[in-house]
Amino acid sequence: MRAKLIILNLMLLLLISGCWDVNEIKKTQFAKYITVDPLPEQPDNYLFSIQFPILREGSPEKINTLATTAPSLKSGISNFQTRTMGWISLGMLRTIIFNQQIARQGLLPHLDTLWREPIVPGSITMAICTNKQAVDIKDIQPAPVEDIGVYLDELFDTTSKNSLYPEKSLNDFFISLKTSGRKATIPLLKYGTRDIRIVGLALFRKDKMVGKIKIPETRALLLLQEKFIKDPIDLKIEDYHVNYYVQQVRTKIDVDYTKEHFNFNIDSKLEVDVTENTSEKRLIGNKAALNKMERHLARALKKEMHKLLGQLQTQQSDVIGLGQRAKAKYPQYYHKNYWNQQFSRSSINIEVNVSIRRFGISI
Amino acid sequence: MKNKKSDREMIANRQLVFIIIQITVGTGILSLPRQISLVSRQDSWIAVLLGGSYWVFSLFFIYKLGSQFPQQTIIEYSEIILGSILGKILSLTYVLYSITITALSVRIFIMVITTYILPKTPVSINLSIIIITCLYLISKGLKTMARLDEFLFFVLAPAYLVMIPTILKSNWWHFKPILGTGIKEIFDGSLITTYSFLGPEIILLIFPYIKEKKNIFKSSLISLGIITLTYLYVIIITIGYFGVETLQYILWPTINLLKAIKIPFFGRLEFFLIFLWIAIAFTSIAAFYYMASYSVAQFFSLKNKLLSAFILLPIIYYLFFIPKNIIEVFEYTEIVAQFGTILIFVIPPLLLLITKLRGLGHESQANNS
Repeated sequence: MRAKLIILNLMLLLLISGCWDVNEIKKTQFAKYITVDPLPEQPDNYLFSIQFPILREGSPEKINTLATTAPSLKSGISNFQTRTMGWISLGMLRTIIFNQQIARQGLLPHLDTLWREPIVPGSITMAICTNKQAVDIKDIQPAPVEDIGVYLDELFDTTSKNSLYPEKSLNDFFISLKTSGRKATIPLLKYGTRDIRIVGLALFRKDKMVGKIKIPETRALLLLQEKFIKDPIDLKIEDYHVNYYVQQVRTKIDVDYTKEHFNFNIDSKLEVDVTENTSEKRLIGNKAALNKMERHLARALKKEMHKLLGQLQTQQSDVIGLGQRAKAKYPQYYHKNYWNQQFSRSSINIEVNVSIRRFGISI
Repeated sequence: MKNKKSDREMIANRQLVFIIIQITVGTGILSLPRQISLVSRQDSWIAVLLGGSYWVFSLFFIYKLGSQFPQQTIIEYSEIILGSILGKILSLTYVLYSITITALSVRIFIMVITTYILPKTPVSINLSIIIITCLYLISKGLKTMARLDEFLFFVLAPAYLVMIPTILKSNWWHFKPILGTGIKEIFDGSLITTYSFLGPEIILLIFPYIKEKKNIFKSSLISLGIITLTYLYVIIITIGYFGVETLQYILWPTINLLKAIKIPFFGRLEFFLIFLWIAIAFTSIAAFYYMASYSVAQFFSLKNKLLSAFILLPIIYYLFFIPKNIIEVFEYTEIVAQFGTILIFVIPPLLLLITKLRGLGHESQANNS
């Protein structure tokens, strides 16, 4: 009898605990994306916009987009809360887009609440809008879906699978920000009228954007990070085009320290297939033609890598993480506080080797 | 033979393995990566192995001491060894240690629950639920607790498996240079693991209830091996993913680790982990509570163990609210861990030495006769 009473009491207590924290899904607004823009006329405030799907049955609208000015993201969300039916949850937040000017000023103040709140997913994609105000995303009408939040999610998902840009989440940014010898990158977006394009990567020093790289350099970065695999590379050789499909990349980075400088030797080996060759030359049995294709791709990629590293050294933004390697091998010479300068003075040698493994079933 | 326990009350050595694992791996596992990496940096994994190895010696002395008085607990035989007054004082320190560690474990548990799952529910309600549930479990006795621990060990294994996908995102440069931190830092880090390894001292109290006494050391070593490997696994994954510097900015790295993973159907893995961890922490708190109530019952010669558990309720409630914030919780935890280290690493060998010198105990008496 006593045991039954205890069980009964426990069950009652469990019911009581649910009362405080219960949130009905129908009454919850799950934000899909947030944008952050500066307000030139109000330097202490920012323009925040938020979009969430409307889950109520019979609602004439499927999505709701709101904008507000506030001094911080948390206070902006509080403002939204006073204007919406139900509780705003960031539990399903997928994307946060910053205006380029905000990124140059520093992202830390805008990310603090996202790192602090346990409900916010660490896998949120971060992006920077380059050609318009970030809030203008609401005006884009993508063909496949009405919900721009879903479009964004799919865009980042498929693009990261195609390796056109490295998937960069809130967690990745946090880790790059706090880890010495490694800097962060965030994808750059260009808004169109019916679509959004990823046009490169923003380079960071601490939480501030200091430069940008375009798609070819982004590809070079991904090759150095061994993340550009199962993807095509198109190259013009003389008067014809060759499309290579990268099957595998192995990049070895060695470091040594001589004459008060770090020296990095980068050796990248690619295994590729030829998926298109617009020249009239026959490839079957033509070893010389294959060698030429290999040489041209290696030369082109080496050039891209040199360009990338030149930009990184100029901007003092070690997004590859060469500093971590320097710290691991020569901790006595690595200086956490001066790594940006040490990195910019480092000498970097690059070697690229390409091996064509397959070239199709005919021609 | 004094206080010979009936077979109905006895637990198998296999069950002892699970009791030790469940009491030890509880609340400490969530913050261990941050605390240890603050000192031992990239070599934290070595510090964990070192920290685990200390317990081999401690468990050996606990076993040897228990073997001298196989039908008594430390509360009972400390008076035999040290005399009435000193024995009482020593017993009282064990009682106080058991109570404070129970209260601190509950506090950490409630902090996590309140932060992640029930932010609006009053703390007193959450506290009541966990304490009453623990009270119910310990009212059913050691054998029931052992059975539950054994069952939950297998049910809760997925809590550790869900972390595997983060290995793919690990950056192994976070572990280099190996041994670059310095021997002193590795040693200091191994001492920090003490709180996370507290728990096996329950043997000092439940020794009389274990069936095959000669295999207790072996069973406890199996537990220690599993616990050390579990911690090693968590440390390697969290440092590999976050890196040492980032870890210092994360309160509960083991949970935060799963915020990075997006998996269809499950969605948010960190909440899945928390739901499983609730059971892990519950078994740990219940075992500490059992330790506290049983030691109080023996100290005050109470026949009803449940009565002592009820007496402890307001004390645990009071201790629960003493730390003002999370920083104080960790400070108090460190103090209790240091106190526990003395009780576990220093006292048993000393008591064993005095037992031998005075010719007391089961083995000595057998040899004399």
